[in-house]
Amino acid sequence: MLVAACIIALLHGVAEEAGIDFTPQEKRRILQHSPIPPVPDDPTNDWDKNPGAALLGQALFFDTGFSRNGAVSCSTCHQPPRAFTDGRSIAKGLAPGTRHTPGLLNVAHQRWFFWDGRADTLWSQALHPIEHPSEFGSSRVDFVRRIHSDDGYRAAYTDLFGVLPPMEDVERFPPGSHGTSDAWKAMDQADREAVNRAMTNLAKAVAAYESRLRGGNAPFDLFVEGLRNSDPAGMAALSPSAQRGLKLFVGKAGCRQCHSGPLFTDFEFHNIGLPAHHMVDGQPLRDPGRFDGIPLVQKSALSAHGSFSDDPVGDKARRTRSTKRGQEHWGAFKTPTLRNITSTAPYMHQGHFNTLMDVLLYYNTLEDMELQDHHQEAVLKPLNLDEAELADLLAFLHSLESPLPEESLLQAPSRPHQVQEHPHPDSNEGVEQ
Amino acid sequence: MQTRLIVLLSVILLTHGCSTPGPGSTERARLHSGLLSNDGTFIVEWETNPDPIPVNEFFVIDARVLDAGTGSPAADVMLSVDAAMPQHRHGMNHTPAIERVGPGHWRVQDMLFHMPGDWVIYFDISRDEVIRRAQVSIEVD
Ligand code: HEC
Ligand code: HEC
Repeated sequence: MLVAACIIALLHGVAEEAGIDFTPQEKRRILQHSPIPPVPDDPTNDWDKNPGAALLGQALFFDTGFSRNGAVSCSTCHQPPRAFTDGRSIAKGLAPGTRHTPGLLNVAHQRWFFWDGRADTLWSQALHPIEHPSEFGSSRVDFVRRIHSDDGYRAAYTDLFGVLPPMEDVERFPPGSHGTSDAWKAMDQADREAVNRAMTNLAKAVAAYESRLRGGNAPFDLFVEGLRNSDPAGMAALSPSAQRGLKLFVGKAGCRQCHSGPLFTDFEFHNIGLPAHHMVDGQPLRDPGRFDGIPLVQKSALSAHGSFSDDPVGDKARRTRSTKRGQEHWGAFKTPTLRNITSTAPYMHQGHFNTLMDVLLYYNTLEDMELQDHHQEAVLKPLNLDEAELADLLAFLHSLESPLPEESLLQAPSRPHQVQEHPHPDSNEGVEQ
Repeated sequence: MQTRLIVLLSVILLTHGCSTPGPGSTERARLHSGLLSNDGTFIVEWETNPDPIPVNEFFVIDARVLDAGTGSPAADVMLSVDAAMPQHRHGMNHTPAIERVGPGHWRVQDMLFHMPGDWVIYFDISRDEVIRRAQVSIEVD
């Protein structure tokens, strides 16, 4: 009884000192943002929780040997210390791309992948960089051949997925055969199928690795834990300024309308009216975003409803098919997570803004906002926050910085398949697992 | 003004009548009865799982359409269900999957209110090529 009274008095004291009181509605809303739930299962990927697959995927993720110039890996653009981004406005692999590199922490929670959601599973996303001319610039045949000719990779692959196609036969599997090349089209149907199968298996291994990229507790999560249990010590994880910023975030600034849930994203797409920022051949690049993403994912043979999916008639497959497309999707992009946002500058799909304050100033004034016609979603209004409020909102965003996953996940693994300097195509020796 | 009216109407029309626990849910699902189509021909009884409807999580609607005159299931009608946020000028991102599970009885999957705020659910009931609408406003937060 006495203890309870003391706690109440203490709580009261802290609240008064900080001057922050949350209404029941604010509290309910805040609790929706933490903790991050466990990574959901992906029924379209039978290997998504397989540790061996994750290890193989991790090796692939950090290996530059799959790119045409031998210098680009996934981690060239998705760099662990930057929460798996690259610090550039626009990504650059073999050549500059057209969009900004998103982070990969907690990525397995997403519903759609890419800014335009043109992939509906994590594994099908991983297939894109291989043949993309400005990323790896390679081909699926060369990709699978390198797995085949590397003892370590081959052993890891066959343990998980069974035999590889006979890639040593360059007549049947001509080098450089990417999915749209004439050489590929001339290949035997069954051989193409076998290469696609191997490639999607490898992509599922990469996805298994990516699904382990979970951020730890951010100061914000400690605060929410404190708020949930009425524990002032926990709540002290956020400065009074950050707490005021949080109040704005779930209140009059309206951010939670789109940046909702534990990852501060609704996983869906909105046009927030950013004018084109990236120039291609002297012209601003007008990006249709989700408007093009919907038909791409619906038509793709590699989607959740395709024959490489492990659940082609499940919820995911049905929902990809039943996605509606309308004018409001023109220029709409996926709401980015705000977790670890301090580490992932620049911001937006074309890296429009260098600092978080620039982002906030945009929402504050909507200056230069490009309105579509009347099909535009009508959510954003200039916020007209004052300087102190903007500083509070910024302090709150800084509190979303989670510790990175364990060190062993942030670099190439040394086992089970040390990448060989001189792969020996004829050797059958596997390495110990 | 228009939305106010709808909210008012739905408050009047929604009676939180007999409660049956939704399948697999620990909370008691409310059966919303007495939602009348605009011309009074049909009554829609519906419940959701989960209940209440969470922000940005898929939910299922179990809906029964009754003839208002007789109170018996309207076995000869077709139902389609959709929802929108009129103030935001957008709808849902998926076409719901509707399955008839009995006479005048449907299960509606892939409903998703991806944003918090005011939503309207539309039940469009067609018989002999005439469509009648029953609608209800819901705030998710
Ligand atoms: C050249 C830089 C670059 C390389 C190399 C690269 N990515 Fe990316 N990645 C990007 C960019 C840019 C996007 C967004 C592209 C878009 O939306 O069109 C992206 C998007 C993604 C996404 C979607 C994230 C989301 O939230 O939607 C995932 C997952 C991902 N990459 C994983 C990988 C993997 C795995 C590899 C290696 C197989 C890889 N990336 C190689 C730049 C790169
Ligand atoms: C209408 C939905 C919506 C609302 C409301 C909204 N955002 Fe966003 N936010 C987005 C989308 C969509 C993007 C990406 C836009 C793009 O690149 O075209 C984004 C991007 C961002 C980014 C950059 C993230 C990155 O990794 O590039 C930040 C930071 C951000 N928003 C913060 C906020 C804050 C703070 C608020 C409230 C003041 C807010 N947002 C309100 C949808 C919204």
